[in-house]
Amino acid sequence: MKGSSVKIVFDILFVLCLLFVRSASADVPKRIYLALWDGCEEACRGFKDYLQAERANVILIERNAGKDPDRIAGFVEEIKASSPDLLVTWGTYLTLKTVGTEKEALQARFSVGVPTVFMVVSQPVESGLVSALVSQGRNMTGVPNLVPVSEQLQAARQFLPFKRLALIYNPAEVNATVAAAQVKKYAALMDFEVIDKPLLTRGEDQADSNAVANAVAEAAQKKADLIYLGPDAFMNVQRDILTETATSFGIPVFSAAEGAVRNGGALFAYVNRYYTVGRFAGVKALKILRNKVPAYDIPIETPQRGVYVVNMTAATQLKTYPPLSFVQATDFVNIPDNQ
Amino acid sequence: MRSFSFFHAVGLCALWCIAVLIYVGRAFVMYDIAVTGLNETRAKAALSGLRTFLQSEMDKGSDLIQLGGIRDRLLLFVRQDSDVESVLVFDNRTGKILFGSQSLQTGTPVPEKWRQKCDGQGTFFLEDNQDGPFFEGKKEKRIIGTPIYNAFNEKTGCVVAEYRSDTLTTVRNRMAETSFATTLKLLLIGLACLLSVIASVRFREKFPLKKKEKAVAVSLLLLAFLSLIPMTLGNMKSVFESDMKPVISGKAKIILSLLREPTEKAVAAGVPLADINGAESFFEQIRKNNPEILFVLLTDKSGRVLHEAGSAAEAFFADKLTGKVSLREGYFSAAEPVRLNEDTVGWIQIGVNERFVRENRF
Repeated sequence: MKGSSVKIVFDILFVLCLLFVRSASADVPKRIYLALWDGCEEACRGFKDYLQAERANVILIERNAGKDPDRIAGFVEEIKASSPDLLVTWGTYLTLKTVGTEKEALQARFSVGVPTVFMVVSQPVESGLVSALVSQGRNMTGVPNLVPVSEQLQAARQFLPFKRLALIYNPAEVNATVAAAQVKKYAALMDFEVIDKPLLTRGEDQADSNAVANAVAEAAQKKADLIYLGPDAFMNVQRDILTETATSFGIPVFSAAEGAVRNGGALFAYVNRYYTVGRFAGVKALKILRNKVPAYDIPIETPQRGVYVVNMTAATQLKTYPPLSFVQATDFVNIPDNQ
Repeated sequence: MRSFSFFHAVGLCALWCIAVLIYVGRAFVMYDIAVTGLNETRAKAALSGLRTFLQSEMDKGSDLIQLGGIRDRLLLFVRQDSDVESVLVFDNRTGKILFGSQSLQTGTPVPEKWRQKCDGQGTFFLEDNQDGPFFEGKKEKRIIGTPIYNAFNEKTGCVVAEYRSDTLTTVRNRMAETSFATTLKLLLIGLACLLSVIASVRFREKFPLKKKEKAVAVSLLLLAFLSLIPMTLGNMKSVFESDMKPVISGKAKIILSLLREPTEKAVAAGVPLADINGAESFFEQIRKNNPEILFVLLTDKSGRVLHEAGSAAEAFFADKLTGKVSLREGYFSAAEPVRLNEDTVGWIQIGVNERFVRENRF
């Protein structure tokens, strides 16, 4: 009798211990390793704001590469040593250098063994990070920053009903050729004609900058209604030549990124704001940490609503203005001074 | 006619009463549905406009709580509609008010059922209430709310407006009075017809008229009474339409503000009024969603029409002698200036067909 009482007391103590351990483990803050390329900018701010708004019990281990690729190896070692609960990466380059492509994932230097959420990766499939946006095998999810090409084209068409779209790009760049191929794929579906103008390459990856103006002139000859400026590092450098020549021919330029609209002469872009991308990455991070959803079960997706960015200086020169129904959702930039 | 008895008279009276009650009752219901519809679509249109504004601001890169200048926008919302008591935006996570037209509301938790309704299905939620923390005084009020979504389709908050329902009640009461008066008039007309028939049968010996002359006299008398029926019914509809005016003008004001806001934003960004792109299709979409609107015009400040949707010509007529253009009876027109830096650069004008119930339902 005495022995059974002692056993009951021990059982109760055991159950209480279990409950204590369980509640204590629930209260332990989760550690997020936040690897940044160039400091905490808009996407990072959005990510942090979301966690704060959700009162997430997390400890952020923030590391900034400061645009120095050599620092990334140190991040990988630190991640392996500290085993955080989640890794969050910013940008295509840093993400690839931290977790590698899907093919490289099994190599020792990339096996960080931590669920990963990436943000601001323009083309996760094309860059080899994952094989697909859904049902992919890596313990990873994320938020690309580029609006899918199909949505970009739909947005461009609602703004300006074009029949002939000129593609001027550097064929030596993977991002640019992938985007060009996607535009061509949707041309038949959306019933428009593509005026394909890959630039002549000089050397391995350098296109001839003089070719840009010539390509625009040829597109104008073929009566292009709109020029598509895709994710293309070379064209981004040459964008002033492109937009100035295009404007002289009266052809508007639609850009995949807002930089060419905000700081250049492109007419408009349909983009996801980095802040929104960061917040969406926060949603995915909490699904992993709070709801225990495996990262590979969370789709890689962009936000569902983008923003039109319209360069009013270019719009005034071209006399092409956004439709009234979009005005409320439009961010007008470079408004001429006389307004 | 000789077999016309008291029972026939009672039967005819009863049938007439039933016919009158059915017709007037149906008319009242039709107009009441229209008034309720106008009132509800006005609130929903205004709230949709506010929601679009909040979502667009969030899409530009901020959280709901971080948005600036929202209180001014909410105060404008209250000023635009005399039936709006207050409007507020609450956070869906915490249930606390983030912004409110009444500054004291900020930080206060909203009733739990609002959060539940905001979390539920549907674009709008409605609630009739007379008491609770947000219902001061004894006026009847109605709550209409709509969820606010962020760019990744997550409900982040809700915008809720409190509407006084006394305007609607007043309109309904007036319409009920009109229905009652019309019913009485029609019953009296029926009674007069019946009495004239009875008199012609009962006192036929006292009238020294031939049979044919007597029939003509009775027919003329009946015709005179019967001709009062369409006049009375037409008058009832006109009075109903007149009763509806406060609701029609209230909605017109909201629609004008929904048209003016993007137009002013475009003009402020440097789009010339005449070159506004897609104005006609935007106006047409507004007309499609609000079938009582006959036309939408965007004019320059001198009144020259730059963009038009619908048929304005139908609502106006020009005096042959003076050439002065006036609005036809049965149409309502309202206009608001399009301003740029306090200067009027143009006008938005809408025309409403006040007889839309009569034309569509009868």
